[in-house]
Order: sequence, then structure tokens, then C-alpha cells
Amino acid sequence: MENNITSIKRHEPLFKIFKRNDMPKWKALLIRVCATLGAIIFSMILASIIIGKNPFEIFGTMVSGAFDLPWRLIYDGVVLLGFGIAIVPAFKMRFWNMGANGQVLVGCLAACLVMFYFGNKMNNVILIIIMFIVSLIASIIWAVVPAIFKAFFNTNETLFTLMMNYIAIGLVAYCNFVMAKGMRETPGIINNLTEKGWITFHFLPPTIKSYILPIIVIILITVFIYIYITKTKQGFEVSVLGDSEKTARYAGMNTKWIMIRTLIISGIICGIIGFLFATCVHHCVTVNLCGGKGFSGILIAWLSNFNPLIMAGVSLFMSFIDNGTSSVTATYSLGSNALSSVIIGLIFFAILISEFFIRYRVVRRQRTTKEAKEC
Amino acid sequence: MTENVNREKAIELVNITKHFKGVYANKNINISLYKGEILAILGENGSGKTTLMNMLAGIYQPEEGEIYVNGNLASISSPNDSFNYGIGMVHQHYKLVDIFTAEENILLGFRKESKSEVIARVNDIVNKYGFKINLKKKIHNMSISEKQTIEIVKVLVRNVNILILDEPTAVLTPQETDVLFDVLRKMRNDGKSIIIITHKLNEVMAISDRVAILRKGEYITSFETAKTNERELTDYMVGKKVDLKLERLKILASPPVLEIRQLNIMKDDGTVAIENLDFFLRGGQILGVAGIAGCGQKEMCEALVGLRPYKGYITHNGKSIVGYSPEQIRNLGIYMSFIPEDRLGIGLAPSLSITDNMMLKDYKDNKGIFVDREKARAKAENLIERYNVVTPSTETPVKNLSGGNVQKILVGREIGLNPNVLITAYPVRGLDINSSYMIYDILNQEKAKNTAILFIGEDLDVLMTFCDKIMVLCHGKNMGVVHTKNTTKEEIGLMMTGSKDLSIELGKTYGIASDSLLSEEEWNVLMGKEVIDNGK
Repeated sequence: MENNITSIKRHEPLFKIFKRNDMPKWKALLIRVCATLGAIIFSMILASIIIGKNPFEIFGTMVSGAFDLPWRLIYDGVVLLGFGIAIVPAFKMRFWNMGANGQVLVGCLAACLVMFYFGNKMNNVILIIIMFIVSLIASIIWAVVPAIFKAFFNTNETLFTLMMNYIAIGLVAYCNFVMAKGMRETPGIINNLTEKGWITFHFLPPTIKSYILPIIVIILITVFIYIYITKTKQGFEVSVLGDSEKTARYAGMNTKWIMIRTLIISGIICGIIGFLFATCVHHCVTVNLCGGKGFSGILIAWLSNFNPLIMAGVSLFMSFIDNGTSSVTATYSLGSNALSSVIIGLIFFAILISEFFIRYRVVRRQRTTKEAKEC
Repeated sequence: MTENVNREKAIELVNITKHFKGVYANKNINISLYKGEILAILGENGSGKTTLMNMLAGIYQPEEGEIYVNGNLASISSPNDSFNYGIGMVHQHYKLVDIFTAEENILLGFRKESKSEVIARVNDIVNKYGFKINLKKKIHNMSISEKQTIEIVKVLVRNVNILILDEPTAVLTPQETDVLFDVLRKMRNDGKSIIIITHKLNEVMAISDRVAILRKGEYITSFETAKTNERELTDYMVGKKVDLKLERLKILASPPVLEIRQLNIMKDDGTVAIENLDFFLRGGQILGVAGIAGCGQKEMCEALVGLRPYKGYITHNGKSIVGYSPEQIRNLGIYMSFIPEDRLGIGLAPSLSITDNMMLKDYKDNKGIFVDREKARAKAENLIERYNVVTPSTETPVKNLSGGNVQKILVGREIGLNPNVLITAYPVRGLDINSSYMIYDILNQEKAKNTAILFIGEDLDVLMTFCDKIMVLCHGKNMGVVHTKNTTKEEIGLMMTGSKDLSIELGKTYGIASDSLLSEEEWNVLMGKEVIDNGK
């Protein structure tokens, strides 16, 4: 009998990975903070090698640079938060909406078109109201079309929303070309002299006046979405549907409608952001208006476990890194803002690794003890 | 069995034991397969047939015992090892890549051989055994029997001498089954050894040379098929009567609450789940449903509560609810509770807390746009106390609870809705004795409240002692409804396997209530039939 047992080869892997649920929250938080700090220290050392200055000096430049324009810092953070909040309801439902970029872009485009063609033809208030409505409609269409296809034909929403981004980019390039009558690539800032269709607060200092409204509105949206997701019946439906579609149907929920309704909400948020870009901040639309914010928003939402409060903190932190490294780039004439990408990349990388160790426990093979037990 | 002594053994299993989470799936099993025979392994659901075969296929490893292949001790720790010993298994759920062609699926996993070499071998096999396949066809365009053929060819191409088939006929039509059996006989005559897992007695009789019976993870006995009969096999398969201290409440049953006629339902794969089924449920009565797994019970439950499309007619207290969604049924003020087989996949939202799961069905009942979590929390606390649910708090995700506690949450919530129809599928599956009895008690209390209860069960002893009547399904057809007082386990066993059809035998139509709330004329109107003969 013993002979037989040893003759059977047991192939055990070198490492075994177990899921764990027992990590206390403070410990998990501590691990994440340490990972982030580690990534920053590492990137500062990296920067000091490239620039040839001592890392503390570079870090100092970064901090002072970031806080040089505090409103800019806050605005950038809040916009990032807005993108994150826009995808939260859909992601709670496990509808992987990759199209926040495109949804904001078409919203902004719609507002800009109205501003360009009707700017001098009507009362400014009516103009702005019309701009608001068309922004919402455009963004809702961009968000809801993939949802309808998913609900009725079970198409893959990730690919669909991703492709809608490229359609939006193409549309923006084309419309800009038309608005510029084919002379240039873009018409430049629209209604630069008349300020028709602009929302500006001239009584405020110039550093604040274009940022104040987006900041207030996006914070209000964040509060609204927090309440929507955690307290309302519709938010409850979204959570159940995200957890198990069969359970949602069992509970008597109309899953198709919930999916479409939730994407309408995502679309509305994106439409509002696009409208604010057009009226308050940019007054024009360009193909890289959103940069990669639609995707950074996804990461922020995931890292914060969809908790809006944590999302706000993470967004501000990202904005701090971005603005700080820009100032490092400028101070040491690095030419491009690649340093920012490097640091943000390192931080995400460190956090993702730490997430793995927070969720799983890795155990090495213990062959000798096991065999001892068997004998 | 003396004549077998001289024959060579292809496989010998000695004292095979395997358990999952402390429950024995197989216990000290000794079975031999001789060369050139078809061995049927017979047993009820959960008797350990598939687990045992998976150990031969290298999917599981036995914890104790030895496997001998052709007389030599074998160590099978992966499906590849299994192929090297010449063992191939066709699983119940086909393992094919849907978007590949048949050829690509067959070629998967071949590294050393050239493509033409393998295809030549495939053609050999196809000609030898008379398979009909189109190698260029994609799997997702194939019918179920075509897919099965590909699975068998895929295995045979690896020079397999021992073929294991796990419930190969479950999804086939009788004609397709005949074709398969012809192929199997040709293989046997060619010297291959075949194991076929099944719980259909007529097929055992038709195809096998010998039959081995498992019950509750243990090997019971084996027979030469020619020297036994279906009745004897049933006796060994279901075992002797187990004494259960279950009580059948005696309550005067009320008129039918739910009446079902001409119910036709499809499974997800497009095959027939339920065919022309008539039945009814009375208040204060428990109707048990007996049948082999996959004979349409699951689909029937889902259709009744509006989760699955169907053709047919369902009335609740004389009012048609045909085609209504769960939401529409609720809006009529009808409380149909459903305790599904898949508790965490359908009945509960696994990552949400107990509190949130409490309000799953009635979250819309309070006014306003907000959910009333306080009320749900109070309900959760109440339920935890009443049914002794073991949980750290009301905010624990239900997926973190143990099976018995999960079921208490589900049953507790459904009962709490004061239903007048209660549909339960395998409510005690996987539960320990105490939790099981608690569930039976709860169901009996519901019965006392005049609720109509449909009980899908798997343990015939329980069905016999606990239910008032038993409806037996076989391949989605009603084999008859029997009063548990007037029947035997053997009779039900024969009906389950399709050997006995009371509706043909006694010429009775089952499932039409004599005191139906609708007159026959009203039924005819509902069913859109012309009234041909009023005079009778």
C-alpha cells in the first residue's frame, strides 16, 4: 500500500494562490498607501537620474508647481472625477462602458455646433438652453445605442462603446473642418469676441471664473449619483442586475429597461460635462478634448471600489501628480510631459500589484511536511 | 459471473474513494471492465457515477485505492495520462470550441503528428464505424447529435481502447439513440471496451452486456444484463425503504389554485423540456414531482413563475396568467413564491447583503423613490433569529454564508411574502439533516396555511412520506399522478425511467381537475378552440 502511494506521482504547482477575505480594512488601506508612496519614491529617484538633480529638490518643484495654480489643480481633479462618476452606474451594473470619452465629445460637439451656427441669431439665454438640450441628446444617443443593442441582441458593450469613441472623433474632425470652411482644421475658439453661448462670471478673478461652475456642478452630480446608487430603488435594481441577471429577472425586474435607463443616466452626465466644456472652459471642440480621461475615470472608479468619496480623493491626487510633473517638465526643460505618464503608470502598477496581494494569499508548496504527514 | 474469470480485464478499480468537502462521492468502489464489453453504470443523481469516471479520465485523482489498466497499476493525474493509457471520455457537457470547425476541434492538442496523418486516421474511423460527419462544419452550426459524434471521433482518434460515455442519450432523440447504439455495438465487436453512464433502464437493457449499480457513492452490485430485469435493477438503484420521521399533514385540500394545461417548454439548447403537460395545484396540498434530472422540472418551474417562455395555458384562481412576466404577476396581487434549485444564481443576489436580499422581491412596495432599508434590516434580523441563521451580521454578503444558511435566507424570505402558491426545487439539496428538517417543517406550516405547494424532489423516500400526490415526469411527459398512499417506490421508479406510463396503462388523462374553476367551455374559449360537441 505505501509502495503504491509513492509510485503515484503528484504534480503540485510551486505556488498555490488562495482567495482571502480576512484582510482588515486598515491593513488593506495601509498597503495601498505604501504602494503609492513607494511608486513616488521610485519615480523621484528615476527622475533624479535623468535630470541630474537630487530627488528631494525635484519633489519640491513638483509640490510647489502643483499648488501654484490651486484652482487648476482642483478643476482637473474634479473633471477626472466627473468622468469616473459618469461610468459608475453602468459599471455597477457590469456594463463595461468604455465610451465616456466619445460621449463627452459628442455632447461638446453638439453644443459647439449650436454656438457656432446660431450664436448671433438668438437671445443668449435661449441659446444656452438649446445648447444644453442638444448636448444631453447627443450624449444620451452615444451611450444608449450600445445599451439597446446589448439589451436586445446581447452584443458586446465593451467593443461597441469603444468603437463609438472613434465615430465621435471622426465626427468632431469633420464638423471642425466644415465649421472652418475647409480653410483650417478647426474654427478656433468659437464666438471669441461676442462671447455668445459662453457662461462666464466676469466678477470673479480670472483664475476661477471659468472653473467655478464645472466644479460646483460635478460635485453636485457626484452627491446625486452617490445617493442614487446607495439609497434609491433604481440604484438597488442596478446593483442586483450587476450581481446576477437571472436574480434580477427572478425578482421581477425589467432588465432591458434597467440597462437602457442606466446608460441614459451615464449619457446625461457625459452630456453635462460636454456642455460645461463648451460653455465655460474650452469654447471649442477638438479631437483630443478628453485626452484619456474617459479611461482614467474607469481606473479611478475601480480603484475606489465605486465609492464617490474615495474617487474624489484619488482624482485630486491624480491631478496633483499631473500638474506637479508638468511643472517639473517645465522647470528642467524636459521637452515632453512623459515624466507624468511614467509616474502615473508606476503608481497604477504598484497599486494593481498590491490589490493582488490584498485579495489573494500566495502559499509556497510544502512538499516535505505533507509527505511527512502522509507517512 | 464465473465465465468472466478467464476474460482479460481492461480496467479494474480497487477500493476507490473520493470525497468533496467531507462528503463521500465515492466510497470503496470495486468495479471491473472486461475487454470487448459494454458496461453500464447505473445510479440515481448524486450516486457518484460521474465522479468515478472523471477519475479514469484524469480530471480528479482518487484519495484512496488503485486503478489497474490492462492489469498494470496506473497513475492517471491528467487527461493526457488518461489518453496514454488508452482511455477516452465523452463528457455529458461537450467540451468543444464553438467557433472552430469539427476538424480544428479534433486536431486540438496534437503536437507531434502532422495534420494529414490525423485526418487520415479520422477518415479511417469514420468509415469503420459508419459515422456521418462534415469536418469543415463549425460546431455552433451543428445539432446536438452531430456535436456528440465529433466528441466521440475526437476521443477515438487518440487510439483509445476504452471509451467512457457520460449520459450520452440524455439529449438525443430515440432515433439518434438507436444510431449511437449501433455505432457502440460495432466498436465492441471491434474489441473496444465501453462504459456507458446512464439512469435509463430501457437503455441499459438494450445496449449493455453487464451493469454495475451505484447508490449514494457506494458500489452495490453488478449483473449480466441478460440475467436481470428492470424491476430488479430499480430495487437495487433506489435501495430499500429508509425510515424517515417526516410527517404528512392531513389537511382538507381546497379547490385548484393553479391549473396548467397543454404546457410546452423548450430547454436553452432548443430541445424539448416539457411536452403537453397538464396538471393542477390545490391549496393545502403538496404535489411532489419525481423525475430524473433534466426531465424538464427546472424549465417547468421557471415557466410557471414567468421566467421562461412557454406555450400553453396557466390559470391562477381561474384567471389566465398566460405570458405574464414575474412583475406582471406580482402586479395582479398574486404572490407566487419560487425557491429555485440555483439559490445563489437565481434566488439571491450573491454579493449583496442579507438585508438587500430581503427586499429583493418587495422593494417596490413602499412609496417614493428610496428603498426602505430599515424595514429590510428588521426583517433580516427577525429571520436570522427565527431560523438560527449563522452569520456575522445582517450586512454580510450572502455568498459568504454556508449552504444551509443561504437556503434559510431564501426560504425565509419567500415564506415571508405570504404566498398562496409556493414552488420549490430541491429545497434540501446539500443541506445537513437538521437544516433539512427545518425546511420540511416550514413547508408543512405553509401547507397548514392553505398554500398550494409544488415540491420538486430527488429523494423518493422523502417524496413518498412528505407529499400528498406525486406527479412523475419522464422526458417532459406526465407519466401519471399517484396518491402517495396508494403507490410504491418501485412503481414510481419504473415511471421515472419511462418503463411504465399510467396514462397509457389505465387510459386516464391526468392533470385535469374535476372541480376546475373554469368550465370546459371556458377552457375551450381560453385555449381558442372551437366547441365541436356540446352534447357529449
